[in-house]
Amino acid sequence: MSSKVYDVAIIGAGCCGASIARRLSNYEVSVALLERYVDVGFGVSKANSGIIHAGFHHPITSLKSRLEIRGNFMFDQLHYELGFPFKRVGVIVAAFSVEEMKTIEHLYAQGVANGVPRMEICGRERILALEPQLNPDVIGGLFAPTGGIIEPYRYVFSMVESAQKNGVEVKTQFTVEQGIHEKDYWIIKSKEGDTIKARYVVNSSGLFADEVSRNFGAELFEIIPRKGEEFLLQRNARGLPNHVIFPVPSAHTKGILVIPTVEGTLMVGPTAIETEDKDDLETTAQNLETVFMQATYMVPAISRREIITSFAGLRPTMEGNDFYIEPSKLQPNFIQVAGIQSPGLTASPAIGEYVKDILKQEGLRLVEKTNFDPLLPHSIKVRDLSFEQLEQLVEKEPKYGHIVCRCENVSESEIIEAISKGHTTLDGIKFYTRAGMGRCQGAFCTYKVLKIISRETGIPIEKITKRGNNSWVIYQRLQEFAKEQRQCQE
Amino acid sequence: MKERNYDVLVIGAGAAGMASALKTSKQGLKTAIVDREPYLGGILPQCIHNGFGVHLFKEELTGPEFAERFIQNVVKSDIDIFLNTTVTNMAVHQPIKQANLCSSQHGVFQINAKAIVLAMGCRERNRGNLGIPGTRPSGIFTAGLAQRFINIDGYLPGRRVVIVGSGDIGLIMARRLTWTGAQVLAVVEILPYPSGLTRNIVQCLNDYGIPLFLSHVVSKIEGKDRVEAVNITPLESGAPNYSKTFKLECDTLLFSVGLIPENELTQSAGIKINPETGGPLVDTRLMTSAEGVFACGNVLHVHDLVDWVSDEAQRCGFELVNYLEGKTKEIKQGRVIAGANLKYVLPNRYRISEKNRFSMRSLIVQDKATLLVRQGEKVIRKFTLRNIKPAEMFHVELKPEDLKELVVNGELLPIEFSLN
Amino acid sequence: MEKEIICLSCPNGCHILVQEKEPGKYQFQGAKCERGDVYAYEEITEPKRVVTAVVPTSSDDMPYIPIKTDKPIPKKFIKPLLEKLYELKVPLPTKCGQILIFDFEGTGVNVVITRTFPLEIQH
Repeated sequence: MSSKVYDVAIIGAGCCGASIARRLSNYEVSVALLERYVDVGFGVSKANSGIIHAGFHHPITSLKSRLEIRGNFMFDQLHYELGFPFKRVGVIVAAFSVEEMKTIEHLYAQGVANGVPRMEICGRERILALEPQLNPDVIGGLFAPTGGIIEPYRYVFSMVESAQKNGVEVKTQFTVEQGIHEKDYWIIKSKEGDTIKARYVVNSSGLFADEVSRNFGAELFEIIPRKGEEFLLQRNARGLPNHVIFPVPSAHTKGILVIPTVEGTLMVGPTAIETEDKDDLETTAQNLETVFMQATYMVPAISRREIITSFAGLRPTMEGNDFYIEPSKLQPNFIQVAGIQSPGLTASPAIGEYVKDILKQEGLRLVEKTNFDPLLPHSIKVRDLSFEQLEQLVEKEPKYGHIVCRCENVSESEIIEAISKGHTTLDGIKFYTRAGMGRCQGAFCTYKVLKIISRETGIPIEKITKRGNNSWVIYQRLQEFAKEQRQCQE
Repeated sequence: MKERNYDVLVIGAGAAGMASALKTSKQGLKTAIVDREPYLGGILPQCIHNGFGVHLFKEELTGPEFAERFIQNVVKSDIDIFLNTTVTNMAVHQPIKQANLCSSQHGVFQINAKAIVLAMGCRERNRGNLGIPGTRPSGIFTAGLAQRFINIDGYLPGRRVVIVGSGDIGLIMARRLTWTGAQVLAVVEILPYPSGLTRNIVQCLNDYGIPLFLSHVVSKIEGKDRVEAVNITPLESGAPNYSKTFKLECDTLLFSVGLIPENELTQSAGIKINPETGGPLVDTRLMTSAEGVFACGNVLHVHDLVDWVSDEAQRCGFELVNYLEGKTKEIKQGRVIAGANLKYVLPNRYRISEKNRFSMRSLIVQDKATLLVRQGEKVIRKFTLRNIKPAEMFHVELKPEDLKELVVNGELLPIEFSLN
Repeated sequence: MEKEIICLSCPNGCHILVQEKEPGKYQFQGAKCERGDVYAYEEITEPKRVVTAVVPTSSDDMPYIPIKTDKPIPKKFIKPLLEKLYELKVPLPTKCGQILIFDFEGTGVNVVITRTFPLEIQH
């Protein structure tokens, strides 16, 4: 065991853990960010819808609402510093009945109380002018121009990268199993057999926050996974709206949304179904029906023929329906960051700040670094360049001229950049660069990406995985397999 | 910006691109051919099985051999070849067309050409397009990607395989995998009849005792990291009967469920697409809605045999030459309509100045069928066809003498094909 | 003995009913042409298939090269042939049509390379 004692260990490198880590990287403290999966953001955050909520859905009495509003305001600065894709496209709630219009008025009043700027209640004409894709049966709605969209995985990647740049140590495939408090620090043991020590522990482990809390002898509570299935439609899909479109919300869900993603594809979903299994990422035929029925009610032009893929995510919900962010009352120096469901992504930058303040109150000495560098070099994406810019770039670095993913226009240099930042699985490359995320879903580029990973890292192709663990892609070389077969027979 | 000037730019160096480029180059037109891959031949080099060329060369060739017949001529010709090169966009609604290209090998440059041939081929439909429920583990591939892994890179994607779709690629892959030593547990087909040729059912499945489940669907995919099993459900009266679902434990799932013409570049250039084929609308010269831009092969419509791709591409090259020589700049054309029981008829226009060759696909399965051609109300030709099925294309010709010059609003009277 | 065989000689795929009246004496029904009876007889007595596969090369530029048997090979030789192929290392360059294995195990069947590599582009 290393004798090093970190000041803070953060369990879980999703959007919250990443944000807390980056916030702390501004101070003279040593921080370890622990992640059970092979790459950061591969848990709850990966399947997030990518919406930056405006902040009118929840009453200001809740913690989640206060952090949501604060978080929303922070995204412009973060976008400038880190360069992840982000657009304030605005959100619309569409109403189709007089009763729904009453809810709209309620949401408006709630938003005003929360401090959401520049909201409008719209009549039919105004709402259709804003969003011509809406079903003409719409009678009005709410427009909040400060809502936006981001790429959630790219956001987490860049937060972690910035934290690392400022000294945070990231340990992936570190599944926290047990915490023992000794002297003035925690000894944290992983399932993989590693151990680290830290004076403060932040439990931002998403779906597993209840288990981690229990294993540290802290509060007993239950995380209830609430599954959301989403469907991704191709670029320039029919019905692609200008804004994120919400239905009028029900008691426990914001409903099925129509989302123009920041990269130009169209997403519909998510469903909201409670499940018991924290690995339950199945999609079902029935839910596809439900999602499309509701989505096409709002935007009739949407066609399921343009689906390129579907996926499911789990929201880590808790009784009480609010965020649970506070120091443990049972264990020392153990901060709970649990139940972070929607609008967790929007709130995450504010959660970083909030947890930093809690740590300070709990006695962590925070001295600002003089050399904190908030900026990351913005990565170059061939698809965003003009032809003239591309020409200059390829003259300097020819690999930008090699388009590996034809559907999303991703060059070899972008893949190499992703690998150099530690993303060495197919999904890691996909979420960092979008290679394999387009209409062919990797049918043309998978072998090229595998070859580049292998060449750059020296990992044999048979050992490269889709997303760690047992998710191997290729079984073996043909002649090796033939040999294996013969030996089996003998 | 580096610029290069050509008479003809051919996009795609597969069967269609090579055949059309050879035609235009042979007629003295300065021709460039561009492909994303580092080799000529398109998808053919990975189709190592035999059965190609029966119509064109009157012998059974493997895919690489079929490709090589064209490749050897291309490398000997005056055609300029740009491999590892992607066309990023093009401007086509002007007499001199411009295409932007990028490549790690040739840099970034522009090609100016009097005419363009679209020959980009197609892509495979995948799991997402079908919306199959379940988890999203590793081990789900399109049949073509698995074929590429095995036949070009020499990697086996998995040991226990279930194949979805009984098209010829799926069947060929069943045998190919068996020959590598892998176990193919089943081929699952949603239709009540196989989509592939009977001979492939025999030599790829029956030979190795691989079960073919007709009227069945994969109703669920299981597995957290890697595929662990699939649920297979029979269809009864068109609807899945879940009470009869059974499970097959496997580590790999291949999809061979159809092809889609790859027309994103075409669409972004503002060229009109035919929703029936997924390819551009073309007139009797195989010219798209953009004057001077032609299309042939699988980018135009998905073919059943490569022989017909080459044949169409040669005609495309021939038409392009005539067009640039000014012979067919102004020709009288009429609309072609796909009537009863036909998915589509191609091209979408006919002429009376020369013979017309039409390719079409049926929507029905029939041993013997009659194809009627009407010009206006009048039946002008009848063809008797045998062994009609949606999986196979068929072709007919109309000669000038079959057709009358009946002009309505400056266009020839439409003709309609129908199948009974 | 009675057996139904589907003829692979052409895309017609005739269903041929084979009856063994007495040992070694067969009767065929259902073929649309005489090739069908020949095929069916062979299929009963010694079925044959064309084999296509890839063989490892000695170069990373083209790690595998495709091959075929130049005529159908008796089925019982398919497995030994495939096993043999994986033990080879083909030196580059290769020529399409080049014989890789001559008269495999006395069958009279040759294994032929089906792709030229590298290509010589002349300009």
